[in-house]
Amino acid sequence: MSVASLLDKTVVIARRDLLTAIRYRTGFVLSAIGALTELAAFYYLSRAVGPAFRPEGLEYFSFLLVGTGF
Amino acid sequence: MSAVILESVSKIFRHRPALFNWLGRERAGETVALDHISLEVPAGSVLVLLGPNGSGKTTTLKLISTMLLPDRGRVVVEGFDTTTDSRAVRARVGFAVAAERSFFPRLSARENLDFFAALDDIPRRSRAERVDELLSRTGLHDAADTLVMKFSSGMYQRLGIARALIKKPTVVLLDEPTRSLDPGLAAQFWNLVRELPTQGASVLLATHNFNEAVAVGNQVAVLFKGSLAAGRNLSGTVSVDELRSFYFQTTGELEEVEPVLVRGTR
Repeated sequence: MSVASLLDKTVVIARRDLLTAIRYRTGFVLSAIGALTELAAFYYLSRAVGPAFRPEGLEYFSFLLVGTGF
Repeated sequence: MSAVILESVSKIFRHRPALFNWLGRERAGETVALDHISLEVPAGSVLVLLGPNGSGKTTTLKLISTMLLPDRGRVVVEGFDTTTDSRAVRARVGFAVAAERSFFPRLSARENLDFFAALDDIPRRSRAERVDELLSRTGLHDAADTLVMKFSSGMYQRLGIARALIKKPTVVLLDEPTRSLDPGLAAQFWNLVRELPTQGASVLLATHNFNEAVAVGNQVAVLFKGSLAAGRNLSGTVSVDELRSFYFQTTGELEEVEPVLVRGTR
């Protein structure tokens, strides 16, 4: 399979998944709200903990984002 | 030249009892779906598979499409063995599947076909044109941008056919393709099937419908209990009644059906 063909297939699969996610409207909106709420919670938690706490040498907010996102 | 050859093919489905078989009623066993079937589909022709439920029609189509592999014998599609050259076979075979779960319900008909066209390596520049052409040929052009979750079973049927044809297969497998179509659409579909051999494709069509067999077939093969019971040419002079008689005489089901027919004619 050529690289172009592989790339093309990857694009259509991603497009299919995106279109499907968008069209489950309620689920899509709830997921977006959930993600934003989580982001806000992390932000305020890191503010509450303060800048002195730097696990692995990172800001706590970045640490939380990377830790939960990946 | 034969497009498809089945050489003494057998397919056996083995089943085991469920893990928690408390009552011990389930027994291990096997079902012989196909028993030493030999069959040839001449290139550029339409072969109709007739047979009662469970006779092995769908298993035959699945063996040709490589969805199943034979336990004995071999299946050859345009010179390629389905066991050893399955990729080459899949590139040549289009199998019309009409089940709702074969499509993505939240995508439109056009988006679904575009997706499958990409998977079938249709170049991006010609994909839209090919999708449009097939939507027109299957009578779905007006519903092209409708989400398929809103489709009727007949529309799914037509979308399944469009999906099978999208890669311009040289062997087309159709499993009861007009099951959910009204008579008008069925007749329109038969025209489409008759066109396929003129475009170089060979067709295997499994059906229970004698009208359909006579309308599109060049040859008919009758399967019964996993065996090839009979075969004959369907020249233009074979009528639906003749085919029906041939079928019931071959399968021996006539005696069971006769009283019902007699009652129906009173």
